[in-house]
Formats: sequence, structure tokens, C-alpha cells
Amino acid sequence: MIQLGIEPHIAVATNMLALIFLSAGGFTSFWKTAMVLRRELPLMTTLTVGGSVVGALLLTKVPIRFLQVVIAFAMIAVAVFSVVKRDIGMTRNQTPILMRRAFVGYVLTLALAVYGGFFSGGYVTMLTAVFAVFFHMTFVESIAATKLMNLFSSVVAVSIFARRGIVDWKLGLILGAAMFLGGLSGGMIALKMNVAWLRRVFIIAVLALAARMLFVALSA
Amino acid sequence: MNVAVGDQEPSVLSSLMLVDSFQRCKTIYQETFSIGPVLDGLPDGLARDLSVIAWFQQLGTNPRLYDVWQSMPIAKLLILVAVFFLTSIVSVVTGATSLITVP
Repeated sequence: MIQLGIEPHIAVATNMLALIFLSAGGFTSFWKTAMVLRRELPLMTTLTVGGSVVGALLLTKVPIRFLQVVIAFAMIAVAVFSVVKRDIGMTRNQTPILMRRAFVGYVLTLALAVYGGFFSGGYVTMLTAVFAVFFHMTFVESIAATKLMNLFSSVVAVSIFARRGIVDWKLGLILGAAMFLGGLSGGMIALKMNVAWLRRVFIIAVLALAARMLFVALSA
Repeated sequence: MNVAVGDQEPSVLSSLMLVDSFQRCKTIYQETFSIGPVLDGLPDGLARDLSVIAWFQQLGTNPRLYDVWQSMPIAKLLILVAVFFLTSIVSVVTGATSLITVP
């Protein structure tokens, strides 16, 4: 969008509007399989909304470049952890989730939502890993759950951007329609993919994103 | 950037007409009925067809009627739509929304 001559702040805000539809499309495709009916979701969603608002309010008060480097290294750690612990996210872990483990998962969900409120780089990726590790979700379940979280965090961000009048609604809705269909298609592809391949794709995506974030942060 | 008839390829014009046709057809149809009492006596289907014909005639004589997209040429919009569609698929499969959308 910026390449095509749209003002950067309008591009960010409009992109966020379209992201609502991407999340809705992705979540819809998973919803049909009933894989996302987890009892943890309401609290996760509440924490995400609250964290997103706090993050948006902190927008001008945090050292974003520093956080980018921290998140990039955290993502590399996630990738290494995923390679070492090969069973994470591969199959549904039926053992009960310990209270302490769940608590840490919720704290990380809130912390990531705050981060996602002012800068979304790596947010969903890290959240996918948190859900898989702390809530015993498979990769597919994690991706589905993050789509719901992303839906709410995007709504929060768009409502704030809209108050500032920097959302191009017409463009955002047209691109949103494209992203909704893309999200639906992506969800169907993810559901048909072998979990091992999904894990490999996830690890490659994590490493690629970490490298990109490090490059952007260190060259700024 | 405004979009005028003379500046666009036929395919772009067709796309533009498709995007806007329903709303404009409805508007012209309503206006035609309000200012064209001669249509009142005609069956609904025939009156509607005549309104659509009048609408297309108006398009031919008024190039500015294509000037519906105030902020971006339709070609750029189509590129954006394609890019956003494809990247959405990738982002859901990889579970990494920001891999391709963070500015």
C-alpha cells in the first residue's frame, strides 16, 4: 500500500481494518471443524482486548526498536524450542493443564496483547507458540485460536485509528473482502495439511520473521 | 487520482463499471421514475430496461460518470486485492499474520 503511494499512517490503519476480515475468514474455516471450542478462549479473548487497549495507549511511550530486537530473539528461541521439542503442537495433549502452567500462559497472552497493541510484528507467531506450549493445543488449534484473538485486537486498533480519522473505509472494506476469502482459503489449506508440514512451515516462518525484524530494527 | 474514460484501458473500464453499476443503475432508475412520468404507465420490467438503457447512454456522453474512485486508479486497486488475497492465504497457513503485513 505504501509502495502504491498511500500515506503510511493511513496504510497501517487501513491494513488493520482489512486484518479484521482476514482473522474472521481464517477463524470461520476452523470454526466449521469445531476445533476452536476451548474453554480457555473467553479469558484469552478478554485479556487480549484489555492488553490491546493498554498497548495502544502506550504507543508513544515504549522503545519499539528495542522491543523488536527482544521479540526477534524470543522468536528464534521459539524456533529452536520447536525443533528440539518435536512433539509440541503435533498431537492433542490430553493431560490436564496445570494451574501454574495455565497462569503463565494467560500472563504471556496478556503481555503479548499489550505488545500487539502498539506493534504487531511477531505477535501472532509468538501467541501461536504460547498456546501450543502452555495450553496443549496443536498447531492447527493454535492458529485457529490466534485468529480469534487477532480479530478482537484488530477491532480495538481500528476503533482507535477510526477516532483519529485515518482509516480509508472504502479501500479497507474492499481489501478486507479479499483477505476474508484468502483467510478462508488459507484455513482450508491448513486443515488439509499434514501437521508435520504445518510445523515445518511454522518454524520457517518464525525464523524468517525474526530475521526480518532484526534487520529492520538494527538498520533503523 | 481520478479515473476518467480517456485514461483507462477497456478492461479497466469494464471492471470499474461492474463495481459501480448496481448502485448507479438503482439511482438512475429511481431518478428516471421521479422525473419521467412517461414510464409510469409501462410495465415494471420494461420501465426498468428503459432506465438501464438510459443509464448506459448517459455513461457514453458523460465521461466523468466513471470518476467513482477518488483515491486510487482501478489497476492499482486490483493489484492490491490480488496481493492481499495471496498473502492472506500464506499468513493463515504459516500462522504469522505480520510476516507479510507489518509495514
